[in-house]
Amino acid sequence: MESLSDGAIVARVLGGDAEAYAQLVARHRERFGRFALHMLGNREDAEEALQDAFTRAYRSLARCEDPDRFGAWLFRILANRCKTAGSRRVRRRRTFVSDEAAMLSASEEHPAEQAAWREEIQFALQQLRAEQREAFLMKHVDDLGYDEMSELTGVGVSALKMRVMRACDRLRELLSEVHSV
Amino acid sequence: MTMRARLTLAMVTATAMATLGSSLARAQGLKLCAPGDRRLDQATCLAYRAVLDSAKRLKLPTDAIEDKAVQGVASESDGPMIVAAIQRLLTNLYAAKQSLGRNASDRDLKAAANALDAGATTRDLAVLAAAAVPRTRSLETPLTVLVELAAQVPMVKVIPDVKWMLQAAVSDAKFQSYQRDVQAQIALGGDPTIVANRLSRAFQPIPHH
Amino acid sequence: MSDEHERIIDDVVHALRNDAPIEPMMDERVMTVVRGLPRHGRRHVLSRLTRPRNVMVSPLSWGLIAAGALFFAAGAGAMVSVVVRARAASRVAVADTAKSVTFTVVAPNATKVAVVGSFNRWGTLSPAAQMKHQGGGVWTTTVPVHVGAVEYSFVVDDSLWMADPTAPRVIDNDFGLPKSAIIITPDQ
Repeated sequence: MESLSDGAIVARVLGGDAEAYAQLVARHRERFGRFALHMLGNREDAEEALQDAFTRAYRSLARCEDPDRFGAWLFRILANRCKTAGSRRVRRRRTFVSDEAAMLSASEEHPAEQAAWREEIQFALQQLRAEQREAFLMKHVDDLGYDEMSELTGVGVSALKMRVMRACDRLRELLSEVHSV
Repeated sequence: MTMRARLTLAMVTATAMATLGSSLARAQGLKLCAPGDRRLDQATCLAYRAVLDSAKRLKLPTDAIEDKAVQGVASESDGPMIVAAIQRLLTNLYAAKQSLGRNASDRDLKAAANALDAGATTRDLAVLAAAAVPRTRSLETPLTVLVELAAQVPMVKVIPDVKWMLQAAVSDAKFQSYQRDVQAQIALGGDPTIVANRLSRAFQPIPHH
Repeated sequence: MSDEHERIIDDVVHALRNDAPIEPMMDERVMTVVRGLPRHGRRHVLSRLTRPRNVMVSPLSWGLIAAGALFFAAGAGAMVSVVVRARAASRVAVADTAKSVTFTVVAPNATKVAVVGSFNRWGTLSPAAQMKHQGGGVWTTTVPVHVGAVEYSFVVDDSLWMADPTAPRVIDNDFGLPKSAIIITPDQ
């Protein structure tokens, strides 16, 4: 079975085939799940935000202006959800990715060390201001260009560059002690 | 909304925030922030008062802002979400007023703000307002029907249908029965876009002189 | 030292990219909710009334959604309808007046039901919002409602918000509330 473009799947869903939406969910879950996880710092909040973003996107699907760019549109919804979810939750002192994550990911180091390093990263990320964290993740983890980031967030390119720069500075500051070469 | 309009709005809101300190005793529309019955935290109350103040200065319906905030409280949404919602509403109301004109009624403005929220553009609103026969008729029902149809028909398709009916001087009651007929036909399996279009064309536009 | 500084960001990015993704089980949870929502495009009246519907109190309360699904499954599908009967407040026609509107809902297993909207400040606890059980799972109330476009919801047992399946659905981009819209006209 050929794989349909996002636009084609959206057209199907709008035509009444609700089950087709599952393909969009499967396609985008991983990438956006990671973003939500890193924005919010814990898996539970991230899953909630992601689920909520997907259902909101389904409800407003008729208003997606460019169905072929469904991903970008969904991302905008998700980024907003992360913003409000983040402010709603109490900041935890220690946020961590689950142990399975440490075990599943490729690592030459001892699993326990890798888990600890991840914990430090998550903690440091949560120390950043939300907009700096968001810009950093979009630029460095999602590999977006500044123009695309500007389009997604509505923020100007120079402001975004400043945010990324500040985020990197702060992360270096927070992590240089625990980082082992 | 134009950049200039956005700047005007930003300035008015900023001014409102600056003068808050000198006018704290404001009873109207602030039951959510009344001492003793405070439903919103301090930061949210500050923003809420600023938005209400802006709405007042811009002669926009403050009851709509209040109602939106109350819905936020009823849905147990947090402060930032409520603030975002009322700021968005303020922006939409302002844009609606730019499009419909200074004399637009509060009810028309509220319906127009809903239409913008549902995906209509300010240009769409201006086109619909210009098409209305007579010019002074209320747009509340046509715009409400527009929003309802836009849940199933792409906005870009339903705008011309509503425009056609406005040009045909279709009454509010007939707009409502049109909406019900469209829903009934869709329930029987009709394509929403085709049904909305076909049923709208049953009305004849009034010729211009 | 500066080499190390550069490596920090690289290592951070590497770690972040390799975090275990959200598990695929989430897909099914999303689809469970999606299946309970009105389909896009074609609608079938019968299936809408009889099919169990998941409704949301707040977008992030999964426990309540599960409770809602149980509620509907137990009640063999809640059938709801709004009967709007407006009686003129007086013989003198005033443009912007309030009309008496009767709301009717069929909710078999509810212990209390309220109708909320801008006409009662969405107040689920206010006496004016409470509906009376007429027997057989039928709940009604008659309230004054302002003329014009009106948004409203039913709230079951103080926790389950639901829109009216027989009235046009309002998409709430702000708070995700399930709402319906009707237009009250002066001469109704």
